[in-house]
Amino acid sequence: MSDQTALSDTKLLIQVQAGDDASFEALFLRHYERVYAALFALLGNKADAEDMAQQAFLKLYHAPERLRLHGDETNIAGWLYRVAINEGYNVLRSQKRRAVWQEQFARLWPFSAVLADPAQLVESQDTQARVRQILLQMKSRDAKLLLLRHTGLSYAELAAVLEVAPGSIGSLLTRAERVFREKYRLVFGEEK
Amino acid sequence: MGVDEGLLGAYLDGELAPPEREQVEQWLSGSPEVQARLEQLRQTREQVHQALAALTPAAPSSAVLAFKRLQAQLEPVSLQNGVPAKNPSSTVWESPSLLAELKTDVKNIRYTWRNTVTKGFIFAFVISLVIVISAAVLAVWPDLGYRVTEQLQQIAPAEGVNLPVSEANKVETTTVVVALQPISRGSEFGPGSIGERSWPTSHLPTGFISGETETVGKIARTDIAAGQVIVQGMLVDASAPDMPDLPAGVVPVSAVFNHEIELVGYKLESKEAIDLTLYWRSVQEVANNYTVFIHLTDVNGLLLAQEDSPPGQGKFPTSRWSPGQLVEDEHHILTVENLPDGKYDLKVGLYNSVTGERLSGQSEGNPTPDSSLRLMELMVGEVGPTVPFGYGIQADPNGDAELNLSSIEELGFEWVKFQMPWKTVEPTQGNYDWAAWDQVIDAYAAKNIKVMLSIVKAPDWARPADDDKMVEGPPADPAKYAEFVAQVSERYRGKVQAVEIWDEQNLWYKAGGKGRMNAANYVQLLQQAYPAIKAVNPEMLVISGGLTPAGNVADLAIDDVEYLEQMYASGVKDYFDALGAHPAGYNCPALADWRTVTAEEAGADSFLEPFINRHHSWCFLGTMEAYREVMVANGDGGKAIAITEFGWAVDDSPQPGYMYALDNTPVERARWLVEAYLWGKKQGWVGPMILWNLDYSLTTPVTELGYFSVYYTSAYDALVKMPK
Repeated sequence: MSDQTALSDTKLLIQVQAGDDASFEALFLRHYERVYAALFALLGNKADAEDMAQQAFLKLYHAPERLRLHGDETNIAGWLYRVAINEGYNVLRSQKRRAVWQEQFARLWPFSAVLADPAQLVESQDTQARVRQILLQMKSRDAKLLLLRHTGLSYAELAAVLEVAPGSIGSLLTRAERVFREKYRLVFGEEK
Repeated sequence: MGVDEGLLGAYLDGELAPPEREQVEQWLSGSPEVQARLEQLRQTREQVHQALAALTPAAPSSAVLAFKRLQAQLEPVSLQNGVPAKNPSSTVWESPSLLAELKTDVKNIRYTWRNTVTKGFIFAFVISLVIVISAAVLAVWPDLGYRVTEQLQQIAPAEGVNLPVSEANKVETTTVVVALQPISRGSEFGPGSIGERSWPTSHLPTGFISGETETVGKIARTDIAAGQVIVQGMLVDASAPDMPDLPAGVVPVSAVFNHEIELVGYKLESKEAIDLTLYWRSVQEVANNYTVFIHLTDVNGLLLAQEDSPPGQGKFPTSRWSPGQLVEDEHHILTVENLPDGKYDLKVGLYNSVTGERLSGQSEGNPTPDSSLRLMELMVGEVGPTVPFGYGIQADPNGDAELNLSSIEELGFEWVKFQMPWKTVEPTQGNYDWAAWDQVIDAYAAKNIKVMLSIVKAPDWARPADDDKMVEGPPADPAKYAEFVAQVSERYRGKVQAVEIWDEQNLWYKAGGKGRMNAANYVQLLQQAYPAIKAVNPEMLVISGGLTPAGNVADLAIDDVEYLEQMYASGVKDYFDALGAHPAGYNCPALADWRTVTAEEAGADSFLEPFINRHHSWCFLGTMEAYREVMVANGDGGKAIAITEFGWAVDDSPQPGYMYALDNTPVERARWLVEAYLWGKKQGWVGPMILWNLDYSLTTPVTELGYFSVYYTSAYDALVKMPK
């Protein structure tokens, strides 16, 4: 194992493609925790986050040829985070749609304008859910940027995930943070 | 000065290359303003970071464990003890490690046998799988051995068999090769053991072993799939499919047979052919394999038809049930074509097919008569008043009566439905204002249009002191409502043909407030209203309030199918002539199956819930069929379901909550409405179908009520042309 841990992502991936499962394990151990943390931040649920992280790695395992086309090292991690965060985002969006529909409109045959009290929706949710709600109200690229940055990705990694130039991450991030803070104030109030 | 905030941000994060970093430092040194902006950015970043900290996993996930889980998915499933699963062409006989295992296991097996076998022949309840092969025959038929080996590899753990065994020393035995899986009852066999085994030749398991050649041939030629085992010579599933809870539509009962097996529910699939599904739960480990009997008798107990078969037609032998496991067991009894109309009894029980003895039954602490449970009284033929199919539409009673009347005539419809708010007719107790209603109802009666009134909205004076007056709700005393509907029935005798008793009572804002929906209370309303109406106007059809199609949503709504089951459980059966329903369509096509319909088929892209969060209530057919199932299961299949509201919304800029209206096109709506009517007409159990609605787009424009209106739409034209 020690020789694997010293190798770059790209080298490891080439060895995975050659059928070396130990290299896959090394890639897994190297990236799993951060992929998991990003997904947990997004989904708020350990089991879901673990499942989705595993799925992302399974994709890496089963379709490495596609990755080789990209070449440089950062792209492998970038690809992995991108797959994970996009899948997680899809799950979350469908969960959100469900939650809003169920709670706000109670899935009712709509013959009355009287709807469930939206205040109740806010009251019943904890801080986590509200932070997540704010992220979901943002442009998905901005939200992913904040989440992944918070998870500890470098600017170079972020650029690879979002498929933008590394030089633009600084501006994208400051803008996303400002949008987040504004929305956060609306939900939590000024005192925070 | 051109200060790039992105650079400042990157500077804060230490992500700048040296030349850029120097540039930023230069800006900073020369300007307190830039310093302030940097500080601002820093603060924002800090705040965002703190907020996002709420999303940090409380429980870390171990990468090593996660990798192990992943590995399990990557590797093909293999039988334990070294059977090489990756290479199915290798055989047991070529594997030295396996042969070594075999030798070890042979000792284990013999040892165990001596311990287990106490006298003569006994049944050892070996929770294990056995593939039995004569080694001798394998030598002659190597090809056969190879095939069997493949099957061994396919078999998942936790399989079992019941086999009669004997003391190996005292009887002539046949040596066989077996694959054993975990054994309960004190055995020390480990999972996946493979070995030889000696069977008493005279007591080889019945049914599939009558001789060595036969044995091998039979097993070798049987396709044994993973998860299957042999019990009493029959290839069965290793365990009955897992079923956590009784499915919807099952009528719960409770009868325990021989303290071993409980009958917990049943479902009658249809009345015409008696297809009965039974739900069993074993109370403890069951020793024997029992057989189910179902008897159809007349009211005097004369046996007219019967069906005897082991659960699942032998596929779920009772000896394999784990305590607490719920088992679904389908039976077909007979086609009830030649049975004369009348009442019959359906009885169920269990017996031991070896001894022929019935298992004594206990229900509610008392022994059941004839060791069987009387499930239900079965009605054959028409029972009770029927409500035939009919075309109808809901109109605004405050709308243009002349226009509406001529429209309904043009449509060729026979029913009109209005909602009659009790509180507007009797705003204070005992003071009635019928004038407007007299006029409307007389106008429709003059044209021979049948009128259905949905009588809702109790006046405040009749409502409980503590309910939520901001929303509609039922009266405190059901008798007050009964008095009112009886007055309506008497006053409009011959002019109003049906009354709907309340409306969407499974919904908080029609039930007097949050958490106040209660099926038992609602049933009281019907129990009071029904006899009161029939006493003054026996011809009046009484329709139960159409439930709102919904899932369980906290204290806001109760799943309509569950609510209906609760209505039956509360004794509603004799208090309505037809069941009211509001089978909403949302953006689901009329005849689509809610379980499988896709957004593509539905032409939906704005509102995707029906295709993600699947539920019967998203689709017209789903709601109708679910109700029908509950009614049939409750022996109420002779009654019709009256559709008191249905329709599809169309709008190109709907308000929030009605996004599905954006997905529906006028043409789709026209087609789906016609399809729904044609479907309803041919069912034989669908009563009047009231389309929601005709003219609310005229009387209350720009509200969501208008999304459903068909006046001036292509749906209207299609309905005019629809063959009636």
